[in-house]
Order: sequence, then C-alpha cells, then structure tokens
Amino acid sequence: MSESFAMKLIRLFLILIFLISGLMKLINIEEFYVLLCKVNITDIDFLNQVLSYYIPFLEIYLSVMITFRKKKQSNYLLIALVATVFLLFHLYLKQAHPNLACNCFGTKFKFNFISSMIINFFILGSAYYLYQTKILNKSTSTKSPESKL
Amino acid sequence: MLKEIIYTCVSLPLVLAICCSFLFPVELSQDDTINFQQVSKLNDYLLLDARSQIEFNKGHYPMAKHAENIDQALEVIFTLKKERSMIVVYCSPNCNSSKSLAKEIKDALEHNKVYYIAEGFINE
Repeated sequence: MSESFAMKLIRLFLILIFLISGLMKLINIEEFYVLLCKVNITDIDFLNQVLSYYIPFLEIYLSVMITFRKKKQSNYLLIALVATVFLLFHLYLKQAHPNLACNCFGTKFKFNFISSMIINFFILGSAYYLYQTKILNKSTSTKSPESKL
Repeated sequence: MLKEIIYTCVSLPLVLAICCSFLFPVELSQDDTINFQQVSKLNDYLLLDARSQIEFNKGHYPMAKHAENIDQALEVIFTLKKERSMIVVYCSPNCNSSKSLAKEIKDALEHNKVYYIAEGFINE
C-alpha cells in the first residue's frame, strides 16, 4: 500500500465521518438540541439553538474543506482540536449524565461509549497523522512521512 | 496558523448557525420525554406533579410540586422563579395530562426546556 493511498483513505474516512455526522445532526436537529438542553451547558436558550446548528455546520464545513483544500494544514489541526473537544465532551457526558446518549455521530447511529471513544481517538490520530505528514512534505521531500510517527 | 483556525471556526459555520437560529428556531415536539433517572441528574429543574391533590398527598417524587393545570403550574413556576429552568411534568402511568400540561407551559413561557416523564409516577 503506497503512502499516498493510505493518506487518501484516511482523508476519505475523515470526509465521510464528518459529512455524515454533520448531516445526520442537521436532519434531526431537534434531537441534538434536546441533548444540549439536557446537558445544560448554558441556560440561555438562544446559545443552545446556535450551538445545535453550529456543530453540524462546522463538521460539514470541515469535510468540504479537506475535500477541496486538502493541502491546508490548519484544517487537519482544527479537526484534531474538534476531535479533542468531542472526546472531552464525551467523557463529561459519561461522568455527569450517564443516562444520556451522546448522539455524537447523529441520532441514526447508536454507538456505545467505548465505540465512540475508539472512533474519536481514530479521528484524532488520523488528523494528527495528516497534519504531521503535510508539515513533513512541506519541510522536506526526502523523508518518509510515516517515519516521523 | 492560529489566525486561520479562528477564521475557519468563526466564518461560515458560525454565521450560518446564527442565521438558522433566527430563521428556523428549533421547536421541541411534544413527543420529547425524559425519565426520572435523567431528571435526578439535573442541577436546575422544577418537577411538577399533574395528578390530583389526593394522589399527590398519597405519594410523589422528591422535590415535586403539585400543579394540576396551567394556572397552578405558572403560579408555582413564578413563585419559585423557575421561568428559565428546565421544567419536568409527570402524572400517573399512561395518562396524558403531563404531556398536555408540558405543552401548555412551553407555549406560555415560550421556551423549549419543558419535558414530561412518559412512564409517569411509579410508587416503589
């Protein structure tokens, strides 16, 4: 398997997972909004409304950005940051509201806590790998990208 | 790099989210339910018992306030200053009064954090 093919596969995985989870949240925005209300992040209803739209839009936007602007490093760093925030949110949810389903990848896909954590870690690792690879490609063309991992 | 990330975060997605929140505010359907275990994990909420006074006196969930109709419910809500808190309504198992009262409260207060316990009050 060539490196570029592996990178393409990882990018495709990121594109699909962000696109699908963003669209699933938008399609069933009410359920996602209810989750945010139940978690009680803020008492201000409008902020819950904005957040319930913002997260799916950000996910779709990121998937579009890594589709059409795949060489931009900041996209991969942002995906890693978003994945970290999702991980922390997931841990908080497990700790503070154990009875609430995360719906992290939309309401159509019901993953348990362990599966969601594994997927989140994989997203984080993938984004970091692509970020590092892009940096290496930019700084040197002789070294293999995987040698830095 | 940081500038690019901030720009990406606050540009299109945030603008779209704010516009959508104004244009298409999320409305809860009255099918939205919550169970007592979830309620007990919440910090700031008001629990309303929509059953009759006699049933309420026989037994009710801890911290619950009695409110059979919208007037009593609003009186309790405003007395306790819980207008912006999460409000949870329950009644007997298989009754509909909690659902309808939740809808009335939601319409009266014009906020969406109103739920009802579908399984109703289960005296253990």
